[in-house]
Amino acid sequence: MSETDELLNSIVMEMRRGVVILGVLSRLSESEYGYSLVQTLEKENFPVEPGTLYPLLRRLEKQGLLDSSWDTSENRPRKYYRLSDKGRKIYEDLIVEWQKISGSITALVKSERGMK
Amino acid sequence: MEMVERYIYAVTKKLPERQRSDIEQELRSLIEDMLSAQAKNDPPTAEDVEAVLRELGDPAQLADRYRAKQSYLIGPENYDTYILVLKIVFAAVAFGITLAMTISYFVEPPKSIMDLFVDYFGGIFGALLQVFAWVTVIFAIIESRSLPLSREFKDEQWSLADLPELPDRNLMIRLSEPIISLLFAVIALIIFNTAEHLIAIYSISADETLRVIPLFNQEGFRSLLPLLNIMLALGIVKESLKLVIRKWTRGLAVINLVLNVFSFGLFVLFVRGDGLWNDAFFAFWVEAGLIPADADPMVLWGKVITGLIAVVALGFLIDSAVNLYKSLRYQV
Repeated sequence: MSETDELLNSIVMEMRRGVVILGVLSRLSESEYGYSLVQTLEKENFPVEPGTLYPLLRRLEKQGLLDSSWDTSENRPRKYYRLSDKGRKIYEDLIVEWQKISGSITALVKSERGMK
Repeated sequence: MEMVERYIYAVTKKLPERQRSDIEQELRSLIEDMLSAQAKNDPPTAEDVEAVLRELGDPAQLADRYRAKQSYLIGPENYDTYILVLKIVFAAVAFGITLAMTISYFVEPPKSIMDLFVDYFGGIFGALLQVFAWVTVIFAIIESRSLPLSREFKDEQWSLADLPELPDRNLMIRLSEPIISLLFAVIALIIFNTAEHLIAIYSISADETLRVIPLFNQEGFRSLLPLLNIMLALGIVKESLKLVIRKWTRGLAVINLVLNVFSFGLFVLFVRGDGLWNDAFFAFWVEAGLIPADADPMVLWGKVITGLIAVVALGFLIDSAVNLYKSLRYQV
């Protein structure tokens, strides 16, 4: 990997880091366990590594955005997460923020292209 | 499957007790899920397990992500100060030793150039290693207690009232103060390490010859010298911190207090140390008729030492208390 690629890669990672939470919250209106979420996100072309997702889920739970419960009825016990009321409120506000950012950046990029 | 348990253990062993079992279980079911989704063989082979664990990545990094906070010996917040203090202390020590070596070169020329080099570089290397260790230990303590060294704001929530007052003469540390102290500390280091026998009573006796009666018993002094050196080194570290931070923050005042306590302890151990004082020194006082012949010079000297300790204690106490008070009032 060349130096430019590496640099690009690290900038993309940083960019993704900011929106990962939004992506995760969007899939948690219904209860999901960690690995099913990994697979869903991958299917939606927004792959998040389990090593990143699992600690993140715990953090969001600690911050009160997610509720969790252990399901031990199956042969493999799994921890399910879903949005709490607080999480839902924050999720909806985040969507608005995301649309603002996305709109402004799209406009900025477009106008710069137009100037050339 | 033993590898899976070892991996889980590697991730969770340094995490807080309360979260450990929960994270363990969650990781275990994650790895099982990944294995049943990705393994080519059923039951999964060792290669399948390895592939999954590799995908999860370095256990130490995963643990860091769970912790969500990096742990440092010396964090980015204090790193610049640390380097600056090291530079100042290194310069002071190197200067001191060079000066000491120069003096001793003239007082007592070495047998060969080789000896001189060995003494000089050996001495410098040893001393730098010592101060490096001390400074690092002190900064590591600062880090682990997360004392703010030069930070003004405790968190994001700040108001205009929190802005630092314009430099208050009472709180600023004047540049001259630590520099003079550093100078004295270095000179003391040099004298005590190279010319302690010159601290003496000089008298002309009746036959007009010069009598030199050293204050210290050379052997006793040598064995107690490390205490004195550590005390002076702590002093140098303290003054360097003052030189860098330049005002009495709460963190600095606390360090000042701690270093003062240690220095005072070392001082007491030193002056009360076995065989420190020269017996001939006491004999001189009796001989000179300055104390009555029937008084025990040792008892009198004991009182002098007690008085000395009291004065030094008072000095350290005032220095610690005044600066602590200043810093507390300043940060409110």
